[in-house]
Amino acid sequence: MHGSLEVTPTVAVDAPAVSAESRLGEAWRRFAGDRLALIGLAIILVVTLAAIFAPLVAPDDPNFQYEGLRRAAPGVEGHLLGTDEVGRDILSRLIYGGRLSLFVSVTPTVIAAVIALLLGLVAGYAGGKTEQVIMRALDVFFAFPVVLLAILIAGVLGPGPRNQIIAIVFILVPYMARVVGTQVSSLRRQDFVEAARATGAGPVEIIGHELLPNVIGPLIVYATVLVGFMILVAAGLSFFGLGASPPASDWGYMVNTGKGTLSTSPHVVLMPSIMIVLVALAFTFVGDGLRNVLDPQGHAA
Amino acid sequence: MTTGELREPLTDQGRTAGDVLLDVSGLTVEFERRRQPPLRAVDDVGFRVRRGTVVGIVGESGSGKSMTANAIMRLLPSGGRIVSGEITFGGTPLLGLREEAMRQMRGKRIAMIFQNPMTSLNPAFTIGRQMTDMMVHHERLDRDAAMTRARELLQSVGIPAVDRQLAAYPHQLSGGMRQRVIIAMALSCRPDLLIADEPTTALDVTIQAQILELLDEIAADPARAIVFISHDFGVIARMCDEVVVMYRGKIVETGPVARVLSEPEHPYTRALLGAIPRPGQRGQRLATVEDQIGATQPLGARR
Amino acid sequence: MLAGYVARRLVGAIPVLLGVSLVVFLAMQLVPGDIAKALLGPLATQETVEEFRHYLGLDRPLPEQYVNWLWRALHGDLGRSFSSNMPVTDLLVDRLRNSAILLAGSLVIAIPLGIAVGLISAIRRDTPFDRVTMGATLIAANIPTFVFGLGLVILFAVQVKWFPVQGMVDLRGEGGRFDLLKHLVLPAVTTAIPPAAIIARMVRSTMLETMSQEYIKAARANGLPERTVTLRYALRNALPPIVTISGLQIGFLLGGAVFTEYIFAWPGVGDALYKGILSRDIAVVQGAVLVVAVWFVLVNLAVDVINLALDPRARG
Repeated sequence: MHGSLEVTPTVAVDAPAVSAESRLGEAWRRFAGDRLALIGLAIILVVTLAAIFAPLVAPDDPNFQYEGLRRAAPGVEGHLLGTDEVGRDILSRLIYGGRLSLFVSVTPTVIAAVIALLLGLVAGYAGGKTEQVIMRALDVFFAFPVVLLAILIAGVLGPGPRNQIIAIVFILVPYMARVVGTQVSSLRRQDFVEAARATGAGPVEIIGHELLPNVIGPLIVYATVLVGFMILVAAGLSFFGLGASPPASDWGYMVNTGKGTLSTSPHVVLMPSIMIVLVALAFTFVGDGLRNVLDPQGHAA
Repeated sequence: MTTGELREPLTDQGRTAGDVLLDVSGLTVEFERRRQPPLRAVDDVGFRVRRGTVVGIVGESGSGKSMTANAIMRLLPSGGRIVSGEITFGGTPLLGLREEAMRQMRGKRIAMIFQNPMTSLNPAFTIGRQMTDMMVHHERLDRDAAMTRARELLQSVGIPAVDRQLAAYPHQLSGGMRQRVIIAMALSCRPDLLIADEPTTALDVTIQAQILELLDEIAADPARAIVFISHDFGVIARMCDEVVVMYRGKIVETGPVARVLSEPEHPYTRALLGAIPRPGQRGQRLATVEDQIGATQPLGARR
Repeated sequence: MLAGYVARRLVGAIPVLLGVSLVVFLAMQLVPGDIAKALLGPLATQETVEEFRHYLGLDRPLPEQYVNWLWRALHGDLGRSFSSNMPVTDLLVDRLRNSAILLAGSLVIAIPLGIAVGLISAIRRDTPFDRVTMGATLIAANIPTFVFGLGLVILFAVQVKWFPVQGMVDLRGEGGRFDLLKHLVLPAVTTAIPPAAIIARMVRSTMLETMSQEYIKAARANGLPERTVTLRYALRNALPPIVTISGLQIGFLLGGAVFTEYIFAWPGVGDALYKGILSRDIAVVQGAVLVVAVWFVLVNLAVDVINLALDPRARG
C-alpha cells in the first residue's frame, strides 16, 4: 500500500532460546496461517519464475509482430491474452516485461536497505550531533512527495532502467534509514546493549552482535511492503517514458504504448495494469504476513 | 418494634442490610476463539447484593471478577457473550431488556467506577463537559443546571477549587483527583448500584486510603449498594460486608467477610489471604497464590 | 500561545525549505554531460558553448551558483524555459492556478470520502460493509493513478460518454463554470481515489484503536448513546491522527496529480513537468518541483498547527 511508507515496524524482541529449527518452523506455521500472505507468496513465486525462465515459458517471441493480427482480443487462437497494437503476443510480453518490472523494483529496494542500514546504524549508535545531522538531512527529503522526487531525479538523469533504479534508491533511503535509526537509538538505551558495553565490547561488536540482529527483521518486513509500492512507482516512471526503452519493455511501458488504442481495444492496457496491481498487492500481503510473524501481538489489523 | 418481627441484622461493617437489589444466578460468560472451543470466563456464578451493603468480589486477574461486572452492565468485550444465567436488578431481569432500555440503566441506575483514573476520563474534554454530558442525557437537565449539580458533586467528594477543576482537562489533575471526579460522575444520577472495579489499585497508598474513606461514606446510604471488585483482600476486609471469592471463573467461597477472613474454607481463599502483607512479615518473601495452592491441593483442571 | 507556536514552526520550516531548494538545485548537477552543449546542439562551436556557459552562470563555483539561483528564486525569478524562452515563473503561474483547481477538486473528494468510509467501517466492524470496503480500499490503494485514470476514461468517457476525455474546457463550447466542472470530474476522481482508500484504511484503524480505550468503555458504562460515544467521544480523540494521515496523503495526491494531468491533458504544473522532462527543459522541471515541494512543506505546517489546536494536552 502506498501509505505504508509511513508505517514503522515495531522492535522485535528476541525470542527465548529455542532451537533455530523449531523457531523457523513456528514462524512458517504462523505465516502459513495467513491465507492472503500465502496467496501473495504464490503470485510472487510464479511471476518471478516465469520472468527468470521467460524463454522457456513464454509461448511466443515478445517482439514478433503478427501482421494482420493487431489488437486481437484475448482468447484468439494461440494468443491467450490477445495481441497488442502492433500484433505482439501480450502474454509473452508480460512474461518478458516482468523481468524488468521486478528488477527495477526489487534491486533499488535492496540497495536502499543496505545504505539505510549503514546510515541508520551510524546515526542511531552514535547518537548526539551525528544523529541530529543525519536525521535533519533526511527531513529535507520528507518534504518532497515521493513520486515527485522520483520523477525529478529520473527526469534529470534521463530515461533508462539504470536511472530509474537510482531514482527509486533516492526516495527509499530516507524512509528506511529513519526506521533503522529510531530502532537503533531505542535499542541503544536498553539493558542488554549496556551489558555488552560493560563487558568491554567495541562498537563493531555491539553493532554486529546486539543491534544488527534486532534491526534486520523489521527492516526486511518494511522492505517487502516497500517493494510492492515500488512496483507502482517504477511502473509510473516507465509509463512516463523514464524507464524501459524499446525494444525492451516492462509493464508500465506496455500501459503507455497501449493507451493510444484505449477506446477500441482496452485489453492492451488492461493486461499489464492487472499485473502491476496483482504483484503490488502480493508484496503487500507477504509483507503484512511477515510482520505478523515477527510481531504477532501488535498491529495485526 | 413489635414482637415477632425480626430485627434487621447489622452487617460485618455495622451497616443495615435492606432488600435484595441485585440477584445474579447461574451466570456463565464465554469468549469465542479461533479454531478452539470457547473460553469460559465466568462459570455458573451466583450471588445477591442487598441495599445498604457492600459485596466484594475477590480474585486474581483472570479469575473472572471483572467479566462478571461487565456482564452485569451487559458491556462485554467483543467476542464475549452471556451463555446462560439470570441477572435481576430491582426486580427487573436485565438480560431480557432491549439494548435501549439497558442503556437507560447504565449510569442512571447502575454506575461503574473503573480501575485506572488516568485512562477512564476522556482526554479531549473538560471535566465539566464530561460530567454534564451524562446528566444532560439521563436527567434531561440543561447545561447550566447540570453544571450547578456537578459543582455540588465535586464538593461532596472533597475536591477543592471546584470551578477551576470543572474547566480543567483530565491531564491537568492528579490521579487521586481524577478518581474523585470519576466517583462524583458515577454518583451524578443517584444510582442504586455502584460497581467499583479495582477503584484504588492504580493509586498510591495514601490516596488509596482517602478514596476508600470516600467510598465508605457513599456506602452509608441505606438505599444504595456497592459491588466492590479487588484482588486485594486487605481492601476487601476494610470495605465489604460480604465477600465472593472467585478462581478461574468460578465462585469457590462466599460469606460474611469476617467469617471468610477468620475461617476460610477453601484452600484458594487461604492462599489469597496468605498473600496479604502483615506488619510482622517484613523482610520475608511474600507467598504467591500459586505456590500456596500448589502446596495444598490441586484445584480441578490445573494446567 | 498558538500564535507563538505557529511563529516557531515557521522559523523551523526555514532550514527545511533551504534544504529543499538545495536538493532541487543539486538535482540539476545530475544532468549528464554539459547542459550548455546539450542545449545548443552538436553543431555549436566550442566558443559559443563557452559563451553560453558564461551567460548561464555555469562557469562560476557551485556554491555561488546556488546562492545566485536561490536569490533570484526568492524574488520570483526561476530562470527561463530553454524551449519556449519564456520566464519559468510566467509559465507556471497559470498552470499553478489550474493545478490548484484540480487539487481542490481531488481534496474535496478524497478527504471526506476517506474519512467517512473509514469511520463507517470502524463503527460497523466485521460487518459485510466493513469487509467489502476494506477489500476494495486495499485494491484501490494498490492501483497506480495512471491505471485508474485510464480505467475511468474507458468507462465514463469512451463507453458511456458522460464526461470529456481531455482538457479543461470544451474548445467548441461556451466555456464557463459548468463546462469546467464537467472536465474536472474524471481527473479529480482519478487523483482522489487512491489516497482516499489509504485515508479510509488508516482512519478505520485509528478509530478502532481509540474505541478500545478505557474512556470509551467508561462512556458506554455511563449510558451515553452509542452515537455520542462514537461520533463525539471517540472521533474527537481520533481527530489528530486523522488530520496527520490526511496531510500525508496530500503529498501522495500531489504525486498522483502529475499522472492525472498527463493523462487528461490538464494544463497544470504536472503537465509542465512532464513536458519539461521530455524536452529536457531543466529550468521548468526545477521550478515545477520546487513550487510543489514548498507547497507540501506548508501543508505539513498547517497539519501541525491544526493538531496543536486540537490537542488540549499540547496546550498545557
